[in-house]
Amino acid sequence: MAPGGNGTEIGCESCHGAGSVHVKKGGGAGSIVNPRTSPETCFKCHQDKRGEFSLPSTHPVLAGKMSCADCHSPHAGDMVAEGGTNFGGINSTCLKCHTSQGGPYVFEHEAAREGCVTCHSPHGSVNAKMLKARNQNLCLQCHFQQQTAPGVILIGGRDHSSFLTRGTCWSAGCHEAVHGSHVSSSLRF
Amino acid sequence: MNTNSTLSSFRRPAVLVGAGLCLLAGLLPAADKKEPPLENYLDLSAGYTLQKGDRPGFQKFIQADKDGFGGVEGLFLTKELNDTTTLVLQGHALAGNRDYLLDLTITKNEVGFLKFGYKEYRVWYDGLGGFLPATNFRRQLYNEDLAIDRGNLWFEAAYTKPDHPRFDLRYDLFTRKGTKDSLAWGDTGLAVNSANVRGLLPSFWKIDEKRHQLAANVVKTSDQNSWSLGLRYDKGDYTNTRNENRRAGEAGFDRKVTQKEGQDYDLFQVRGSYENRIHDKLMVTTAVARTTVDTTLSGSRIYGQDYDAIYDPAFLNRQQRDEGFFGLHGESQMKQTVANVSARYRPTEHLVIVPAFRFEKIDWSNKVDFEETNFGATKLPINDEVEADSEKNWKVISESVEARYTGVKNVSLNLKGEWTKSEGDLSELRLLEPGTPLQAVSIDRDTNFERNTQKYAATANWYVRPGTTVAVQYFYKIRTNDYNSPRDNTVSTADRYPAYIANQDFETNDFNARLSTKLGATLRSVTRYDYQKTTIRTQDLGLAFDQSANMTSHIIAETLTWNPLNRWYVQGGINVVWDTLRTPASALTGAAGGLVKNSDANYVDFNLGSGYALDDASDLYFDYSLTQSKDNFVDNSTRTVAYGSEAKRQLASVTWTRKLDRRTSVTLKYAYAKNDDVPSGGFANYEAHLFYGKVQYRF
Repeated sequence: MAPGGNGTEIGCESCHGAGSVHVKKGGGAGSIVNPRTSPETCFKCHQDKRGEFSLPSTHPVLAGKMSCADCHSPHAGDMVAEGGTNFGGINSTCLKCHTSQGGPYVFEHEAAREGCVTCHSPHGSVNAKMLKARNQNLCLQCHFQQQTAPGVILIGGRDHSSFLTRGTCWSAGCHEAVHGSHVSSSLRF
Repeated sequence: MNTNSTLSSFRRPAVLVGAGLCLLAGLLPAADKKEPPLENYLDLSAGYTLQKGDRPGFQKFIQADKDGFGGVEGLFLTKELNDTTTLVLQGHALAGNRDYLLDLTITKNEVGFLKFGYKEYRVWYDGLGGFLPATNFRRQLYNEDLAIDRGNLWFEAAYTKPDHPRFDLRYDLFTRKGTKDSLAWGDTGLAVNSANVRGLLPSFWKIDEKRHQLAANVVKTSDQNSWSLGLRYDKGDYTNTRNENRRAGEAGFDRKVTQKEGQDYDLFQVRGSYENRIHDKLMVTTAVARTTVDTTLSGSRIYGQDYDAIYDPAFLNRQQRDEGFFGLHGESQMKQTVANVSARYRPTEHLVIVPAFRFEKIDWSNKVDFEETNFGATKLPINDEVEADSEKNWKVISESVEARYTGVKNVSLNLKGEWTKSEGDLSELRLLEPGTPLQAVSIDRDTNFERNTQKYAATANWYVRPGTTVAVQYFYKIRTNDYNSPRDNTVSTADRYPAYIANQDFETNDFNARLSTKLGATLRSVTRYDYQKTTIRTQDLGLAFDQSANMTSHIIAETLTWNPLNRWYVQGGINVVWDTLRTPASALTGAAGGLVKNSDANYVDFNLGSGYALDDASDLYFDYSLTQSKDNFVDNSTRTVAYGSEAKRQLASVTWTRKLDRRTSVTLKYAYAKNDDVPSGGFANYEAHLFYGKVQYRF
């Protein structure tokens, strides 16, 4: 704690509430605020996350079926329990519940190595499936290439103008295996 | 689940639940305070809705059954079985919502505990497909009321005698079963015409997943050090199918596609950790794990008159390029080694330095064989035996140094640098008609990749005065990915993902600042601003670097809490978000013009809540929330499928609670919900009245 005394309110009780009863009882559940039962504690500082969890596509945190602590370690250094020098590898938090998305695949989608958050907004999104974008830009953010001819949209060297009239890359029947495929290196299905 | 706004049952918790509880507690009759607290309780509740419009969409929003629910919302029971043994039982069982919990713990002091439990909850989805504004087209092909049930059964036994090693054995069964929507929509010629098909028809997944997990741990802790050793074994399987209807309702074109993906896997892991307090200023922690996963793969993609059809080369409605496969069988093996070590060094009272190092090595081999199916121009079947395999090997080395300094009066500073280097190799081979005179190489590619990441973060908290804090945080992150394919037989063809990308750089600047302060004796304010900008630069083989994406977001948030009286609080909050994702595609012209619009995700979220203690036994609560996404939808449905978001959703509720006596209290709640959605043409609109009641009995 910083010296000076002004920050004395910032400690265990800023998240867990008054601890006198907890101490008197010798610890234990039920005698102190447990942020796992409500995200309101976290929203006190992370107000932006309240907004994200209110969006049409979100993890069911406000519905009480998940808690912030299911993905975050509030007592650890940088909050997310994966990546960097943390013991858990990138994506391990997501794959705890979404095991089938982790493969294995004979032909993997490189984006998975960048992390699930390359395509998904884990707290919530205005787009279905918590996607960062609902249209073709979701894929083009990585797959847009220098255009070498006018009036076309070259992706992977092939003009996709006519294909994109049908919809997005993954909902037009062309690249449905977004997490990886056993049969097609272009992730057809 | 909170006790005032029990409708997290109606989805949204009260804005200030804690304050609400205090209202009632602060006004309890003095006589009650002298009684011993009643720890145990039983909550019985029921909810019902009157609703019109998109019922599955409403259900997805509130995450509760649209037809109502009822049962035991909460049960908490503690009992001293004898002087040293305690039983704790928690549970709920809400029929309709399929929300169940049984959590039993028996603890014997200084010996150990036994736990047994089962938890199940449902997550709802809306199977609504696409809508084309230009022709007012939408199709409903099946019951769009979709849901997945997640279950967890567990048993745990632990030996926790003081000054002895702690032993822990736990078994879990995780299940996931049901249906959910898919965005791989089927195409239709009815929205425009048969020469201009659009992907709009709703699709859905059938999910059936199961995983057994057995874990054993032993931990020994002393004043100076602790060590642990753990074993874990998982056995899981799943069979998931995506069900897609193409050209539904069009004579001669209507066909259903069922894609099955199956796995049967065994995971084995051994891990250990050691923590040693070398002296008062230095503590070192290290951990290591070795994991192997063996997987059997299966799958198929078959066109037919119905879902789950058997492959029929003479299927009447087959079309050219109806590609699929069946009889997929394969195996995969993954071996992973992870180790990390970190030190916590405190050279002075106000300085803590934490260096850390992590190493990861993964070897992955995958091999499948299957029958690939297709149809030519004359609808003649074209089948090939296919073998495909890939080998992936990579290493990741991460280093970080973090420093925390509190030597400045009322200020805490945190600095962190993190560097990650990853390199590996991916080889892919795909053969047609292997081992026959017709054998042909479809893909033969070897790709080396190298990834380097740097991240620098700084955090400062300034405690200006009691009750006022300024917090700022900034990080900069850059990742460079380089790909090189020394062997690639696909260079001359268009189908060469991922080897086509040669270099890719990601760069992110992220900043946020927060001011928490008291504005007088009764008003508290928290103001926050978040900014993030990410760019992606991509270079494809033989081409120049191009900025393929530019993402920017600004978030302004404000929360005000006002306690004008001991018996009354008001809290309001607002988030205003500007969020854009730009790619150069929106600027293209000609045949590519107008196809890809900018992706904006701007929205406003507003909430207001208030609680008032009517008397010494009754509270009244009010909540209102508004979430509105704006300016994110451009109707380009004359060119393609129009995507985007423009919706306004409101929820208002009023809750009354009354404590009838020391043991009994009741809660009544009414809520009104309304959703207006533009991109769906109104098909996702709904309006609902929700009624809810609860009785709590404490004992």
